[in-house]
Amino acid sequence: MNFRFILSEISHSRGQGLIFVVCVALSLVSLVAINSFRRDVNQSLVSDARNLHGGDVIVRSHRPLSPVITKALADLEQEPDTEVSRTWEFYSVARNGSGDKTVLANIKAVDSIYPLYGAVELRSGKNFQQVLQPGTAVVGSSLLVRLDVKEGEQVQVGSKSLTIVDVVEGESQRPVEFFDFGPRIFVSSADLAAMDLMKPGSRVHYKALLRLGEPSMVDEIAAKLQHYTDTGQERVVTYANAPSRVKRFFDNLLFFLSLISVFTMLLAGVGMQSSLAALFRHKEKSLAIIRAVGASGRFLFSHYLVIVFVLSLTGCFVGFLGAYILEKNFTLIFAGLLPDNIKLGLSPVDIFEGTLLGFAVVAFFSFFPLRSITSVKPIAVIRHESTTEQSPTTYLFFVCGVVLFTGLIIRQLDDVKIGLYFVGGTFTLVAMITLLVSLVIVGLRRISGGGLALRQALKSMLRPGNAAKTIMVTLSSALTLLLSIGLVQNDLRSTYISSYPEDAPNLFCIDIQKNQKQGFMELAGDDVELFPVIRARLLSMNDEKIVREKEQKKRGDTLTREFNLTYRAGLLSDEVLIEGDALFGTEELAPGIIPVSILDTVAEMGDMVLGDILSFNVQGLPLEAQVVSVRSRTKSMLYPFFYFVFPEKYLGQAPQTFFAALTVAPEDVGQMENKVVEKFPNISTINVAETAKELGRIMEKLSSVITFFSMFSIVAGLLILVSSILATRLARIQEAVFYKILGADSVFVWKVFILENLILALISSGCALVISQVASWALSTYVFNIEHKAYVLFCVFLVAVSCCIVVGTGVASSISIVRRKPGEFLQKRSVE
Amino acid sequence: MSQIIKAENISKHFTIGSQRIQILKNISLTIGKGEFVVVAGSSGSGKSTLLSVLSGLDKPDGGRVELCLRDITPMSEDQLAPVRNTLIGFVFQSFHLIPSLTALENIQFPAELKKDPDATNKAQALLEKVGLSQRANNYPSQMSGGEQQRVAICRALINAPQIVFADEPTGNLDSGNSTAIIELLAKLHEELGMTLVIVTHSRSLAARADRVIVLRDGVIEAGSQL
Repeated sequence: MNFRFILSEISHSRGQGLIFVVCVALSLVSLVAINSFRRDVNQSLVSDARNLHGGDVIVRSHRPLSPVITKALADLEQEPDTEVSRTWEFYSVARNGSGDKTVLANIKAVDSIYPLYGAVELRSGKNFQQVLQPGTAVVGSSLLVRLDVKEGEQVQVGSKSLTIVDVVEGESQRPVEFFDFGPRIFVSSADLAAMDLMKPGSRVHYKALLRLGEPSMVDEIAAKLQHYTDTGQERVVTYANAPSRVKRFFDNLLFFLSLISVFTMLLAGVGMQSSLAALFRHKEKSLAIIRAVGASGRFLFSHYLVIVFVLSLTGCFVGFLGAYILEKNFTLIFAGLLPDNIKLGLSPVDIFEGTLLGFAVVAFFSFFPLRSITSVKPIAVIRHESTTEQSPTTYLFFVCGVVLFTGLIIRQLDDVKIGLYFVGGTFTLVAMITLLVSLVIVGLRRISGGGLALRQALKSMLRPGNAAKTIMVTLSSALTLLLSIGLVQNDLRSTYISSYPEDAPNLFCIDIQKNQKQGFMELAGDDVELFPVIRARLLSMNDEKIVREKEQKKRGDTLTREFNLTYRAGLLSDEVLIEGDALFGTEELAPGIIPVSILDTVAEMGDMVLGDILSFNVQGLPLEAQVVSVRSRTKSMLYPFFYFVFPEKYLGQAPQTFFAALTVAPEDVGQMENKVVEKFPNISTINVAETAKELGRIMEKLSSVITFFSMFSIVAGLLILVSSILATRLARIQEAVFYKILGADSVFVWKVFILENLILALISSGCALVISQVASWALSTYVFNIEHKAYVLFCVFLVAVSCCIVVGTGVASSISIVRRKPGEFLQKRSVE
Repeated sequence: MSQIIKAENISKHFTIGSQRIQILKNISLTIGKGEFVVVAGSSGSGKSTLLSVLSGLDKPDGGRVELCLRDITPMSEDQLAPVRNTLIGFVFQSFHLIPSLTALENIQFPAELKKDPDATNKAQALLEKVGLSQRANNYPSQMSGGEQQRVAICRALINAPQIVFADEPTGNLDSGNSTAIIELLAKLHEELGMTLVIVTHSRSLAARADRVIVLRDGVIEAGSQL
């Protein structure tokens, strides 16, 4: 091994070498940071699982716990060192003492021994259990602001007036407040009755939290309690297997960011390949001379392998450094989303896994350029001969590489199906973009008109070795990702937030009791729409039990949650029938089976078709229904919709509450909320405009996080552009000099260079625009079931920004080229 | 004969590594309109540098150069651009054709820079004149050295320049092609009457010149301006 040769080669390949190193680093930065972040989040949530869930065993229900399980819990309480704490959690409207300000608050009623694990940190620093007494409330700080109250003043919750005694600073069971629509109010369970908020059908989360004297008995006790639960009503979980909304959110977000990071890794891989290929093309003559003086292909391969290894190692190091810096800044990027107790940092496992990943990526993308140097012939000293034939081992390696890479991606995403979809989707996307770009290039080659500068720019762009196609495909792929995300996000925002129709209901009232229906209508007006709500769980489909574990693996909505059933005679104004003759069919059903109409969303979720038999548990009573029609919504917005609709005669007598959607003048919403809550304290009101604003805030935050990570893929495209400019630097200088010799001024030369980059950017963004419009249309229409719009201004803005970035990068890389003086260049060439 | 090129006390040096090499030493000369001048001398004598300085491709360290009575020495690159485009034509040893353009496009390029609407016709006429009309759509890489040099000569002539500078135009050609190029240049000079300044080693070319300037170690050899 000739180390002097290796050092000299590295030193003489600084430009492309640097790009290779940056590409390796880029392929690792976001992926390693995301993986490490995932580990940190899991660590913070799972390592403290008892604190997070508040008990060793947790019994949860949306209805009061059954007498059987209540007795079983009471028996357990008799065991030594075993404690049972009970909590009730729900949303309700809270008012200030004078009643002129209201806010939808998250009420949590707790007993005197809450919390069994973890803590509720108070601003005063006092012990929560000692502070919260009957007649008092401990509140979130935002409640003070929104109700304009201070500690020591009163807050009205339902029919009870409570004295605010302290402010919550942190809760181990609520590590992230980002997703809660209302500020927290802790009250004593002793005040529950006086508040008069819990009525039949009210949305209350009942929980019994157990701390066991003998921790090893956790699973056994959980199994025993499970045995006593009403089928499908109460859920018994342990701290180890309890689902966490926060964890689920992070799992989904990090999974999505992983997808983006893997995509960036692939584009950075293309950058590695492109820079290495450009380097070897540039060195072809030197390599041929080395061969001419007797070096073997093996010599070249092994030495350049070491060079690639050194550069990769440097890239990995830079990547880890970048990942470390990036992760340290996650507190800024994910501001408001991170659990309080999270500790961020790269662990040795992250570095080890990252190194493996980095070298796998390098091996896959460097193999072909490296292999090409073994085929450099000594004759290349005199003339260039292109070799296009590939040996069977090359194809074999390619196939093995693709398989290995697919395996790596599946491992990274931890989901075989989505991993395969991702690989297939990426290949399809790249193939589509390549096809589109090729067609555009064919068209461009035929252009004969236009100004001289434009024609020169086109000729320059399509010059041999310019990698124009690679740049366009990479930039297009990155921009397609960015544009698609932006377009779908705009569709979501437009549907749910911005374009909420002015005449649409803007105040929702929930938990209206049957006996309050008349009074509520008198208050709200006779034309108010009231929707009956019957809460139920789906137990099985065609006698096949709905398996919770299987459903929980799904990333979206699940069939195991509690559903709101309703009854009515016809379709809503925003509904159409897409399957079935009529809402409840026209055919006679088997005895004991009742008809049900389902929404297309749930049909898709559970692969349900007409004729399927669904078994429900309607608050303890079994109900067998046959799917007789499928509905679809014509408009998507914040408006009530129901997955399952039944004829009134079957559910009319079931325990139910009503949901009302009111259209109130925006300035009267607060007043109406006050009137409703004053007359019916148990009814919760939701100000739709405020909710939309809150949704918008969450969406903005998530979108900025996603956009930030997507930007890495753009960098990959730009790196290939710089690599290409470096690779064709000599040809570009030569052209610039020739232009000048023939009488062109520097304005003309700049015009050619700028136009070349502008065309490159326009083709890339144009192709990205076409594909992202199709992709976002498909996603919005078929996945989110919302309307898609083209957002011309948004697209023009993104295209303009992309063009500026590409032209800026191209121009910055060309400054030294344009400044070269003709005489100086010719003199140097004649010396050479 | 009125003078078209005037050089006064021009000097030029290069620094290679830490070594300073004086290439031109206070050279003064004048060249008349329509004159055919050959600059000769051994390798490293400064012939090509002199040509570069006279044509404005390079700046002298000292002295001044006038072309058509205009002092080009203080001119910036952009000020020189129209001078190069309309007043001067260049022919190089290595042809220096733009690889991404066809023969026809290479020739019409300077005319298009001048926004000449007749650029294509003029280029075609020139190609025909040098016997290469059938190669109009060929790229430089598809042509022989002799053909490329003929295209380069056409390119130099398209804007009907008053001066053509040629730096060893036969240096990269075999003897057959060299003779053909010499004949062509001489013929074009006779027909078009432009000033022709050629750096060359070729004795046969020198023999056809009106005057031969011999350079030795950066100075004009005494009595060489015949």
